[in-house]
Amino acid sequence: MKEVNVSSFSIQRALELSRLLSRSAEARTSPAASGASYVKFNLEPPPAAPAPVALHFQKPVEAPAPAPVPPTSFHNWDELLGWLISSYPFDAVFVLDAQGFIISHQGKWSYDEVEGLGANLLLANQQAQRLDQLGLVKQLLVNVADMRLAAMQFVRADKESYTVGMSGAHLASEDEYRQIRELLAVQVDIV
Amino acid sequence: MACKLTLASQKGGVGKTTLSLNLAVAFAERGLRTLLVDLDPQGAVSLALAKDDTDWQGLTELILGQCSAEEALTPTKLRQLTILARGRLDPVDACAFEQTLFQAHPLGPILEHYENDFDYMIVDAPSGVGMVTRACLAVSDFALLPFVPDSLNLRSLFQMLRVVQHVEEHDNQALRLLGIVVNMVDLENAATQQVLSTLWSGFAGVLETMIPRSEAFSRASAAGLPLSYLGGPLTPAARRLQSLSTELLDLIAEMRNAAGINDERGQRQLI
Repeated sequence: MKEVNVSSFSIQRALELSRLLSRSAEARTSPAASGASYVKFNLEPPPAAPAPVALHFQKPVEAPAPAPVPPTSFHNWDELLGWLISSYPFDAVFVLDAQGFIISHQGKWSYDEVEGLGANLLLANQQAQRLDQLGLVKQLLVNVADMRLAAMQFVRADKESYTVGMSGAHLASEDEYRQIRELLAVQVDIV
Repeated sequence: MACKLTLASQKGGVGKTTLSLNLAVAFAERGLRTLLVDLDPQGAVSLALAKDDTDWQGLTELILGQCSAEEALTPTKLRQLTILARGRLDPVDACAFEQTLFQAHPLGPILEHYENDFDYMIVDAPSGVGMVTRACLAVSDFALLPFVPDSLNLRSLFQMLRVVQHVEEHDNQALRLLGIVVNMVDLENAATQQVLSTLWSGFAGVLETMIPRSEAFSRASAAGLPLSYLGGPLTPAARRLQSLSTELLDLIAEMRNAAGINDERGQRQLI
C-alpha cells in the first residue's frame, strides 16, 4: 500500500490476521501472529519502583529554562511546526485535519508513520471523549513504551477541526503544554 | 444446537444493527428459528424497530432476576423470529450493565437456556472492541464483521481482527471469523473503489455479497421496519440481503462440517 490517501498503517497486519482467522484450515496452522506492540492496560497496580540508587554526588540544581518566546504570528503550519520542534523537546510534530489526513509534519516520523499514528490518535480521542461526559477533551497525553505523545485538538472559527501532535522521548512540562495550547488556540485561526 | 453469530465492528455507523435485524428476518423467512439478541446498551434493535427503549423487557430484567427467561423474549409477527431485547436499562447504568456482562459472564448460561428453541442466534454487539463485544464473542460460534469501505475503517480493521484472535485464543476456542461483509457500498466513489481494491486484493474472508448504500434503508429505518417488510416491489438492497443470508448459511454449513458438526435434522412427514 503506497497510495497517498490510504494508510498502510495496520493494514498489512490486518491483512495477515484476516488470512490467519479466515476459514481456510491451512491458514490456521500458525498460531498467534499478532505482532502488535500494544500497551497492556492492566487494572493491577504497577509493581513498586525499586529503591533509588544512592548517587555519589548530586548535580547542581539548574534553574528552569525560560519559556521560548514565539513569534507574534505564523504564516503557515510548516512555520508553526518548525518553531515547535526547535523550541520544545519533541522529535516529531504534525498536524491532521478532522479526517486524519496529514496537513503538515516535521521530525523523525515518515509520512506513513505519521498517518498511522494520526489515525490511531483520532480514534483515541474519540474514546477519551466517551470517558469525558462533557465531551470537552481537547488534549491527550499518552505514554507508549519510550514515546511520549501529546495531541491537542482545535476547532477554528470556520468550524474546521485540527489536531496537532507532538512526540518525543521526554514529556514537556505541564507549563510548556499549557503555553503551547494557548499559543495554538490563537494561531490556529491564522495559519 | 443453536448456531450463535455475533455482528461486531470496531467502528460505529457501519450497519451492525441494520444487518443483524435484516439477517435475522431473512433467516426466519427461510423457516429457521431465529433469536435476535440486542446486546447494544443503547438498545439499538428496539430503536431500529421504532420502539421506545422502555417498551420491551429483556436481558436487563433477566440478569437482574426480575423476569423469567421466557418472559424476557419478545415474539414477532414473523413466527420464526423472536427478539431478546436489551430491556429497560437506564442509560446511566450502562457502565454497570457492560461490566456485568464482561465480568459475571451471564450471557453463556442465558443463551444456553434458549439453545434448543432456536436454530440461529444473531447477536447485535455495540460498536467498539470493549467489554460487551468481548462478552458476545466469548459465547459465539462465529464473528461477522460489517465493514464500510472507507480509509478509516480500513486502518482500524486490524483492531477488530486482533480482538477476534484474542478471544479465540483465550476465551472461546470455538469462535471462528465467518467473514467481513462490505456494507453501504457506493461504487461511484473513487475512494471507495480504492479501499475495496485493497480489501479484495489481499484480505481473506471478505464475503462475495456486498450491500449497497441505498435510500431504501433510510425508508425502512424511518418506518421502523426490516427492509423486506417495506411495501412495494422488493428493492435491490433487499435482494442483496437475501443473497447475503444464502452465502452466510452456506458458509456456516461448510465451516461446521469442516469442524465435524453435522447439520442433522429429524425425519419429518410431509402428508
